[in-house]
Amino acid sequence: MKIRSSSIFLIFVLLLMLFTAGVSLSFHYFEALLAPLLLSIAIFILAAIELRKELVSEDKTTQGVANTIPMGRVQDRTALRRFGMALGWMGGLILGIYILGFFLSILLFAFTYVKLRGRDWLRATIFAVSLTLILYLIFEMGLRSQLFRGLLFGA
Amino acid sequence: MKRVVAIVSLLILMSFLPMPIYGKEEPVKPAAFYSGKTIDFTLSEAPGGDMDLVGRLTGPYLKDHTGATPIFTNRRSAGGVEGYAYIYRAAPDGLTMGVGTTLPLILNRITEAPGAMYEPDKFGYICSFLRVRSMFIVAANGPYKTIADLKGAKKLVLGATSPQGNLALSTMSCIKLLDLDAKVITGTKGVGPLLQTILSGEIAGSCVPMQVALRGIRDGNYRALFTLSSERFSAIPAVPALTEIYSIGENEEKKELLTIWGKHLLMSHALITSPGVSKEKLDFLREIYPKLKNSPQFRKDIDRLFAFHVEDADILEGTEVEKSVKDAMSQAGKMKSIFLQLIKEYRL
Amino acid sequence: MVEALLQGTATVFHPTILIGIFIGTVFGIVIGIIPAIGAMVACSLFLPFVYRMPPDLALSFLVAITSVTVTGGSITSILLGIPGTVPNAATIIDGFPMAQKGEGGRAIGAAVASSMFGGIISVFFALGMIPVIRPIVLTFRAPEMSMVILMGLSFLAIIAAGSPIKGMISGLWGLLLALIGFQGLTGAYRFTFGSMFLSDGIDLIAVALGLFALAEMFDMIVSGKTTIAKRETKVRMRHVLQGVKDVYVHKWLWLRSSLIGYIIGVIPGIGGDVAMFIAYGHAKHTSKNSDKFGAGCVEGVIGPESADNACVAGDLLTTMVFGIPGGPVMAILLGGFLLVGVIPGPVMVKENLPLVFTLLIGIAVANAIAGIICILVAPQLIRVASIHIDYLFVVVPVVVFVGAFVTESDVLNLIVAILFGLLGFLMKKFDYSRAAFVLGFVLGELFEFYLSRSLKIFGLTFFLSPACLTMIVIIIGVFSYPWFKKIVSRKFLKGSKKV
Repeated sequence: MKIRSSSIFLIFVLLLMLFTAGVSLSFHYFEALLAPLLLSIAIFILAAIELRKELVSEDKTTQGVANTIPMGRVQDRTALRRFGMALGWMGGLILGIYILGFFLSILLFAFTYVKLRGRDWLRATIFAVSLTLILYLIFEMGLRSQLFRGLLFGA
Repeated sequence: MKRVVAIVSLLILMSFLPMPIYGKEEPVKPAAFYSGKTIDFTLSEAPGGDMDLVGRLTGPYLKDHTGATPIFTNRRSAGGVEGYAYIYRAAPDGLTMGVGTTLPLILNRITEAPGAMYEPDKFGYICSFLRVRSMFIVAANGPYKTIADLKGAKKLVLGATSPQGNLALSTMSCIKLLDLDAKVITGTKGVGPLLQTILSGEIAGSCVPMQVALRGIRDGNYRALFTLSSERFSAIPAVPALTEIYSIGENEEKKELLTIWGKHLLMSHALITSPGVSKEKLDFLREIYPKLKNSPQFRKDIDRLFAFHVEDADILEGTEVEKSVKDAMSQAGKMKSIFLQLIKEYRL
Repeated sequence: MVEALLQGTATVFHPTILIGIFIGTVFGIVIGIIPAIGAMVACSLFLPFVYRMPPDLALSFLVAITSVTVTGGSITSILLGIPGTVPNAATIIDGFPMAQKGEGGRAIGAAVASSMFGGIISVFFALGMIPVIRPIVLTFRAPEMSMVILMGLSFLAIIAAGSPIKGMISGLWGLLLALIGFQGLTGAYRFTFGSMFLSDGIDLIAVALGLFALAEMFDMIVSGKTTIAKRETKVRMRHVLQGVKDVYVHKWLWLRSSLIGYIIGVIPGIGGDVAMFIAYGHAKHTSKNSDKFGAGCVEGVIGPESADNACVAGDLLTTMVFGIPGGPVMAILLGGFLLVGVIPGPVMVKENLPLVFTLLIGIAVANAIAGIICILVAPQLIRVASIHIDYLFVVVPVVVFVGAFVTESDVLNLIVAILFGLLGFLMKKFDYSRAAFVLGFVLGELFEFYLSRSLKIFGLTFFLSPACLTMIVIIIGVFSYPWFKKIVSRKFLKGSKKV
């Protein structure tokens, strides 16, 4: 029986609901634990039904019932690689914001990403500087909202 | 490998360099220190609340007095605890300020609300704008017109916001003082929705801050039965103090409770700064007090905001606020056990 | 009353007030376009500047901002899949797919027109309701509120496209996550694990930004798409006007949705987010093309957008009549009232009725101005849908993270946004409804609060009040209406065949 990624997602949901149900039972007040407990149980049951449906329908496919054409292994790997890269860039941006603050990390992120995607130096620089400047004008000057300065330059 | 060790050692040595080279800084006068800088001004509630508006109103006066520009940020998580904790943890350079309502500041600490790791008496109190008292209110068109009506009722449901907040504790104290057959249901998000529930008859009443009650009383929506203190409030002299209309007798517990609310728990909207700020800077900041008190425009603005005339006696100097907070905290242990007992007994 | 109405109308069209409304409208649109800022931040920002102005001008300016931020927000929702304000999350469900199909102009035309007309018609509802609003609002206690929210929750099944089980999982999961944080009823902290950041629960704005905007970015990168719009279309004014025409074609949907939005605005404590999703659910439920919802159906834009602007008039009326804010935006507006020396409440309605009319009619004027401005600039704005992913992948996450930070002033909110971005991507990939999730999230805590409160105060028979029973009948009626209609038309067909 081949487990699809959607089934893995459901297994994650099941485990999460077990966890939340367990944590709910530790709340001191009955009124506090009732709703989360009931919801966790309800979601657990629904997720279990859906998982069973998926696994059973998967079995039927392997028994020769014509269905959709499965995605090729190469396409799977490409999608995973792209997803990993996107997550990496966003994670890197967050880390940069935490250490360097918003403006410097946005400037670096914008320039580096656009440049590595094959754009020329001028375009990448103009784009990065313009974006940072616009955000500075709107938030710092316009809205008087101080954006996070980062561990290195801020509080 | 050797090269790496050498570079790392060099870097470590270099990090000690600034100390002997630059030496100690010359002390700078506060006025010169603040000029041109930015004040990180924290508002420990959502935009639009009384404290938020008061804080923003003081902005131009702060800027005039110090030469520094306040930048306002709302940090309202955990009922404002986040904001107070932020100010408490800030560097003692006098550049972090905020508006704190002393009563929640004290109560959060006494009842050990999560995140309330600060000591209320260690903040630097600059001044306060308003001394707030609580009033017990009911719906004007409701069935309860006097204390006797409340006492005659069975299984009354009163309301409050947070179970450990000053509204809940003051309402529960009223139940105890008046021996009512009542419980308090908590959880309403804010005083506005709480007032709505009184108006719709969902709950019988509540003990609310006076400036909120006053607007509703003037509108004819609510009736104030008494102020939770031993003195009348000048803006609405027709409302008696609790002790005037009800005798608590010789019951020690009740006397203690009344002393707590009448004497120890002074609620004021105070301008605060982080602990450890130098005396020179704090004194400089406290010089704003007479400027605010004597500014006709500022007085007009806060009168408009609170919808009544704020008396001179209710605008306090920093030292007075500090003294009253210290006094309250000296009774912290006693208050904690009393309040926790009230919550256990009267929360619905 | 008529005299006060005439006086109020004359005040609105005074040049100074009109200029104030115009400037407020422009600010409102711009602020709505910037994600996560919203009317709340805008109004608190302008408060220190307006309180020295005459009350008419100051309040008209603030009301104008409040009335049109959601209109501005619909533009970012449709073109970029980023909810400009939280209520706009409902517009993304069909508005963004329309942009992807190259129908961005039509979607914006429909959104802006329905917002404009929804905002205008709600003013007429409000004007008509002034004498009777007080007893109506006072009817809504905890039991009635729990019925209203139950009605909202019952749309979970309708909103979820595809598998009902997956839809219920999404909705219930949203409900569960809404319970994180401090529970006012007991004082308990649930699922916070000692973190102060989680004590107020998870920020809805970060959830919406992550679930929709970041999720779409992940999706575009993974699938190798280069632009939002699948095909390059030269957008002309006629495409935008086609959307405006769609509102006329679906005028009954527009009217019903505006009424839904207005009524929910009147009831304190619920808010525009809920109104938009209920209106979306209603649009889908009553549409002949319900199977097309979620893939770019214009009715899925008209429904929520009509409701969102209609909410404001109801909310403002309740705030002015009671002096009690219906939600966080009105709380700031209430502060504005106090600062300029106007005390909202019954006294205001009695002694300052012309001002009440000025502000309500000001909403209509602001909506009209916003509609015209947005329609005129729409053809230029649509080009955003053709921006290459290389630039979009920088702009969208940056805007999302800045927006997420600004709402909570906490860097941890960025983590929330990206986690929900991941969740949103997986939900989209595995066909779980994000809309149902957000609806559950928005309503979860409210439902638990009002239900618990009803049980504690009124006991198990809390639903037996006349208002509750009426609402139960309405809920049953609304949901059984399509089946009833089918049965009747089948019987009618059978009858006509026999003849």
